[in-house]
Amino acid sequence: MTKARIIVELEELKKVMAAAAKCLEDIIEFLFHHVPADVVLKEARITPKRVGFSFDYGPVFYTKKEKWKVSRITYDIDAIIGFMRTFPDISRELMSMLDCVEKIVKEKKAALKKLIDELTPILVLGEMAGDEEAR
Amino acid sequence: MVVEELREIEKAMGKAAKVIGSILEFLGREPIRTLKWEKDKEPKYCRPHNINPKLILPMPGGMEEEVPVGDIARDLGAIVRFIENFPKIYRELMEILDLLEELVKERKRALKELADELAPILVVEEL
Repeated sequence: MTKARIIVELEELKKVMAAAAKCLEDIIEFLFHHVPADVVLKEARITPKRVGFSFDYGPVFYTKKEKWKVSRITYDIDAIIGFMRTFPDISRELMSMLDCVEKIVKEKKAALKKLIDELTPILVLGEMAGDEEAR
Repeated sequence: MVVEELREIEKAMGKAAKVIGSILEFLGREPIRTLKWEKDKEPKYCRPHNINPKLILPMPGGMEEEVPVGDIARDLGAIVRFIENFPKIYRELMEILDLLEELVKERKRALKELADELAPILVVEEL
């Protein structure tokens, strides 16, 4: 491969990595900053250190042994190599957490639907009492 | 007879408080803020909080009252106002949960797409 070709390939890699960093940051921020992560981790029986995400407020990190800032995978070749090696684990862990959030949300929706069915007779009575009072 | 009926209502309300409390506790930390950011929507009837989730129940005369969810299991006034407002509370919570589900699905799709896009590079790396 010529040097010029390598540069072109590296440019391509940089673009892919920028997209990867953006996607991961969005998911990790969503999971750890916007969803009750402790609930999700407990339900999914996931220890955050298994792959290793750092979810302190601020920059998003992933780590195996060393702490990498996610955005580093857009410009740091060592970070890119480390990321490539860890990506299947990262992907699995994030997917199981997202699955877990989805499962919890579905359970809560089912419980809410069941509740409205159970409360319907009381709600109807409440409405009737209101009508009578209005009369 | 009335006492028995009241016992039944008390049981139903205890269950309602448990279900709604659990949903509000789950949503309580940050999803509400996410939804507000993404949809510019402020919850009107529910005030989720980690420790003590509350319902915003309209009072006669146009006033509002913050009622801890646990009160609907024992306080008669809270029970009456809760029953009057339950359809609205239900709609609001369901809408929030729907939106959260949609956001999770979007993230899952993005992650799958990313895995597909990276697959060729990962194969090269393995080789």
